[in-house]
Amino acid sequence: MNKNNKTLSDALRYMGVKTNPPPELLTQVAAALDEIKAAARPCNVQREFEAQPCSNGLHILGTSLVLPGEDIKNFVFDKNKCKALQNTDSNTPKSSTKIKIFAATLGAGVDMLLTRTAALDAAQALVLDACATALIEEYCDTIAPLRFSPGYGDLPIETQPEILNVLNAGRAIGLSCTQNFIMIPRKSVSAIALADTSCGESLPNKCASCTFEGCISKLC
Amino acid sequence: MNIKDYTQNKILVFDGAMGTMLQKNGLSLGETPELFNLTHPDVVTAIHTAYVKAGANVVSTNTFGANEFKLNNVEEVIAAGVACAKASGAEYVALDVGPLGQMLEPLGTLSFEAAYNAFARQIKAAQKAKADMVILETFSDLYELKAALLAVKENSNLPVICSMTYQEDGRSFIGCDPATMVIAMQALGADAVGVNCSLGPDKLFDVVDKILEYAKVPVIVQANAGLPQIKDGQTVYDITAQEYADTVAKMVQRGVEIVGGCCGTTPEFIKELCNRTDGFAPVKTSPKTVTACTSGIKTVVFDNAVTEIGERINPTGKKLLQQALRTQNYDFIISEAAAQVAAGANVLDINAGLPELDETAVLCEIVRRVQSVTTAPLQLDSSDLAAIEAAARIYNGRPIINSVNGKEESLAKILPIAKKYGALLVALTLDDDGIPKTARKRVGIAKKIVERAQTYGIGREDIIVDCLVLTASAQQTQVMETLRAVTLVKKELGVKTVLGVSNVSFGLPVRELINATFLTAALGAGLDAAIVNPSEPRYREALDAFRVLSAEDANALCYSQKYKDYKIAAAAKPLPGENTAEKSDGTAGQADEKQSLISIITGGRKELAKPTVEQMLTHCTPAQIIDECFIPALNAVGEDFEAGRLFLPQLMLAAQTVGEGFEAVEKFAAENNTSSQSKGKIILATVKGDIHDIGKNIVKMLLQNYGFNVIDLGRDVPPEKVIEAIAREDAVLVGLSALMTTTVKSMKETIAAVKNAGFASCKFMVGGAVLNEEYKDFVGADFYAKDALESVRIAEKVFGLNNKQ
Repeated sequence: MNKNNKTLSDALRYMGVKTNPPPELLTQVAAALDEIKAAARPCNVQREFEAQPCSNGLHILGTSLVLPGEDIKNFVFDKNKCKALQNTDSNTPKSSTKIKIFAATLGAGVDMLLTRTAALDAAQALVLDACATALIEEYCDTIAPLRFSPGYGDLPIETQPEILNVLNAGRAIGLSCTQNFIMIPRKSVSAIALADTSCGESLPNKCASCTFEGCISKLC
Repeated sequence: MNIKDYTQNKILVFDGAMGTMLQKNGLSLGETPELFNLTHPDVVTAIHTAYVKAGANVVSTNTFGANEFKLNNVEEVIAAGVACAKASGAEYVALDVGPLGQMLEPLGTLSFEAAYNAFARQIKAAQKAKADMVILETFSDLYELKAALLAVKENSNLPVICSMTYQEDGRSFIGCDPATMVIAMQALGADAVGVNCSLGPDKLFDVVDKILEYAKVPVIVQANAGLPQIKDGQTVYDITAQEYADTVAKMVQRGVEIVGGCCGTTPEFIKELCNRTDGFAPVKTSPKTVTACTSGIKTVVFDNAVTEIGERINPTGKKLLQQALRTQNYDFIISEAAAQVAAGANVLDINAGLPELDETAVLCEIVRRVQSVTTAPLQLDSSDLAAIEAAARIYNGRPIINSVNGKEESLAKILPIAKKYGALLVALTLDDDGIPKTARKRVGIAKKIVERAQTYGIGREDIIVDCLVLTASAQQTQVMETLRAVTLVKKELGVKTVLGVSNVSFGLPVRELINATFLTAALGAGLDAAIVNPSEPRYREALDAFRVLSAEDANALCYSQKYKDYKIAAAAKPLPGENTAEKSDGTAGQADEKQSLISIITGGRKELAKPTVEQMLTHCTPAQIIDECFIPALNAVGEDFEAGRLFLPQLMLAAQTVGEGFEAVEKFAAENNTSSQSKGKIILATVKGDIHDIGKNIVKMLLQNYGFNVIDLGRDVPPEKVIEAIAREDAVLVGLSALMTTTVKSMKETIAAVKNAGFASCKFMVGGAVLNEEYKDFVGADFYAKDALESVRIAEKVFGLNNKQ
């Protein structure tokens, strides 16, 4: 499947279309994706760190940031998820590993397009929204196909501002987050990935580590 | 300290980066840099001192993020920051103020006034600590910068510099271009404007040139030391001090008068900069004088082009808009705004004058809504002084105020508001004696207004004179007098002109024809701006054609493209009996007709719904159409949706098709003075803290098209607003949405607050991605709607309806 087709099929999945969409809908979604691409100014900020497990989570060395919880530790250190790590010889847990923290956004233009459309045509707004989500995910896949974001598993969404702060995301890409931890511009992602992004490709199902019941976007 | 005086003879040199220096001196990533003012004042002072030794005239305090969203002790940190800076012995100390880190509405959730209040705290602290000036820097949202600038002007007497950050494409993250920033901020009283952060200086020449083109106040440049790169875990920049100084020196030769550095620059950079520019005298520039208004993103210049000002958002004589205003149906207003811009409007006139409304509140709400969906600048149109001032304040950019006139009272009240908020002014040529009959006397009033405005510091370029159109049916000889006045005021006073064109045709048939003919004549007389309905075909044709004749549409490129296959429409309305919609052939039974409408709906053929329903209304009642076509069709689509045979976008399309049909039904009901039946009133809101409202919008659309009356309170809605709406609307069903686990608690608080307020019998349905039956119980709701269709079923149950066969 080429990249554009995957983005289209992801967009359809986000809007709850499971099987055999009618051709008019496919045409509509393809046009909407073009509209989003025209409004988007994708950009990202990323930085590599050494990360070390500690009693309450993962300490990002050289910063005051500790990512709380077990899941992020497992994500970074679980050998089963990564061929590269499996080749390391020691049985004892690694003392530290190189990770990448990044934030990416489609920019404020997409928000304005979505707000305007929502007021004029709710059905089209749904389609555009799904296309924008598919596009930011596609963009993040080019940065790190396997990633872990605040709000997944037991990594609380409350870490969002600290992550953006460490990246200086406000200055770097104009990304901030509200007091309720919603990122602005809306179509944005922050995530932690292994610095060696090739690790992600050995993982068959991105949804395996997620426990959210009833997700309409589940891949299988 | 007066910046303009200082830069008469000398370049003013600011310092370089603070964050870069702090990191070199022990600040680790993720720590709050401003707290070093309290914990390590010696380190902070040493950095300032290094910059002073390097030659900086001004040091900026370590207070970039010292606001209430990032710190608890704003005043303490600012006092310490100013003290650290003063201890360096610097000539001047500037309070450094960055963005709040919280995005303002409509992109974010922070209100303009909350932003203003946060900035005001910082400014009061700086005034108390005796800072010499304020520098507002690294802003990317003009709206936030406006809040900060107003906070400085209203809470101190300090000079203030406004500086934004731009991307490689020459726009800020939000999309604001440099000219817009300059035009809006210098009108609002900034003492200097410019650019900082962003990129290396080598990439900023275009931005700086744009700023110099319009800036009448000194211009500042504080660039980064190039692009950041990570080397061995440290951020390094790719431009040397020497290169930096060489590049910035070129900008000084173009007219930049204030220089310094941003991220990655060090005392070495400032030293090189001082060496390089030593002995440079400021270069005087010739900035353009333009008549220009702005939105938060772009500027409209009234210059060598006809400016179209959309007139549609004005309730006078417009029943649908009046009704929309009374029922707070802002979607209708937004769609009017969007339609006018799509048709060609450059500016939108906004008028909320209905006697029974709180004009201040409604005008401000319309401004907020409209500026969230369009980049066209707005013209605030009211005779209510309080409404004008409030709207000018919360407007995102440089507005036009409509209007001032030659009466003493008007001059004394409107001019100070226009000056304070840096607005353009529409000046009506009337005074206590009314509208003069002669062009000469109208010029006299315009002259009086221009001269009086000058005493307030408002230039003639900021005044657009309206010589006032009288109706051809009542004062026929006056029509041409108005045009003579247009030509005269332009020639004698050098001001731009505007007319509300449509007034001319009151009381005459085929008004469009009179309007378009008058418009053409007015444009020929030199009119700069026309207040018109840009969607009206006759206006459209006249404007597009005139732009060819005036050479505004160079080589007639736009015209040729747009009118390639155009057919001038017949002016006459179709005669009774003729119908553009497909005729029913008379033999087709009514059952077939109904079946056909049902197919149109299930097939989502929006464009056919209205004509078909209109045709059926000639022999069916609205109730028959609703109950025998709309509802069965929606039910059929709903069943397919539930069974997974079709999907949400198709369900919504069917609902929109019904919506088109409903419009025809409502129009019929209004014409026949029968109220269209509502099945019940439902309040919808996305709860406080959450702005994910797409699900709520889908629910709203479905409910409306099933015949329910929906009061949509929007997103990020506090509990008080829900309570107020329940009380006002006497509602028995409320739908709440929340997408995030963190905002589900807001749902619980809202429901509890409503019950506490005494509305115990009000029912709640809840929905949103993370919601389920357990959450429903947790928040205290009555129903959980797993999808939009389920919310319709719930509503039918609550209102005792059962349409399912």
